[in-house]
Amino acid sequence: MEIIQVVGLGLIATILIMVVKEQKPMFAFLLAAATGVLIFMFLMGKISTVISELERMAKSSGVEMIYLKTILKIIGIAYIAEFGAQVVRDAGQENIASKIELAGKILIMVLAVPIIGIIIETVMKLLPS
Amino acid sequence: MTWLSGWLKEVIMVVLLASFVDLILPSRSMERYVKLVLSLLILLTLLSPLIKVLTQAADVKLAGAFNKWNQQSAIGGNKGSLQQIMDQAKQLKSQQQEQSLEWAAQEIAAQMKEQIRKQNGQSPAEVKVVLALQEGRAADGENALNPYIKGVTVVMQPEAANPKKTADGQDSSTDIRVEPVTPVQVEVNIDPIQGDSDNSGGTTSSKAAGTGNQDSSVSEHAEDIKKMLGNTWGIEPETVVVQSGPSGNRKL
Repeated sequence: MEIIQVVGLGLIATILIMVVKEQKPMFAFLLAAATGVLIFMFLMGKISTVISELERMAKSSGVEMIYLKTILKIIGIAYIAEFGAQVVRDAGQENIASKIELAGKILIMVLAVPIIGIIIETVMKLLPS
Repeated sequence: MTWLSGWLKEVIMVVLLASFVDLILPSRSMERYVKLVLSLLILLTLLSPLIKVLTQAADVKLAGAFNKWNQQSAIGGNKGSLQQIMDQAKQLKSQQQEQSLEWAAQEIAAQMKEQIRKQNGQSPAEVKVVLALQEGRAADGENALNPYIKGVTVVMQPEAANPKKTADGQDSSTDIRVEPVTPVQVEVNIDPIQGDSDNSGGTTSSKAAGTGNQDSSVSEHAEDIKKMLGNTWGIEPETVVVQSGPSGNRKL
């Protein structure tokens, strides 16, 4: 039951942070960041099993691997950007967090550009010139 | 018909994947962007038969585009790594040069030892040769690094160091072997700029004079060794430094 471990870790960290916050806000932030990283690392393994299963399914059903790779890249960018933004937001730097999110969005859009290019090319060929 | 079923399978699979990704997305803020890319992918899959008819296969094109990007982004990152590789190559080269110099110095030392043994009848305890590299002045006019002998250190056996004692007899020589004092040092120093044949070492010759005063009996041996080494290796005898064993020890 990993969920109990994660929730327990979160609860303990929260109580500790509440205790420490009055005296040392700096350490409270560090504790929060460390807890976030720990939970993230903990979930990494689970996500990897999901992703490997997805890959296996895609291979068996004959989906082009480049599609799957694109989708996985999107998930990765979204997760990492989200995590970084949350950690920074916890520290109170709302500006930097929004910049990190912006970077994630732009990188996802960059992945879309070749797909758009192919579709537009096909549509242009469909239309009689 | 197999083509149709394959296409259907692909479409279903991509839609399933897209919905799944939508589910495991972490945040709402990314949602619109991710949905755009996913819908584009689904559209691409739906259009794939058409694309195959009209142009080349979509996945090949996509892979080409991604590869191009990766290469472009890799060029920026590789500049540093290329520099690193060059630095490593330089380091390795200098290491190799050092090793080869060391090896050559060992060979020269062995030859010098043999020569001293032939001349004196006693082989020195130790001969150390230090080689160094000199810029330019290669034989073919190219700018190359020439090795030259930077210093020679000859450590003599105690019998050779003190001939007076050896004159006492064979037994005393064994006594002397028991004594801890040993080394006689012959140092040949050649100026790095002036090369093998040029004599430069004023300081080294002064050293030789000083040490020669300390032990006059050794200086005879030293003169012999100096002359011999100078003749055979193209070294000026005046630059040869001779140190008697005890004085050398004191210096150490």
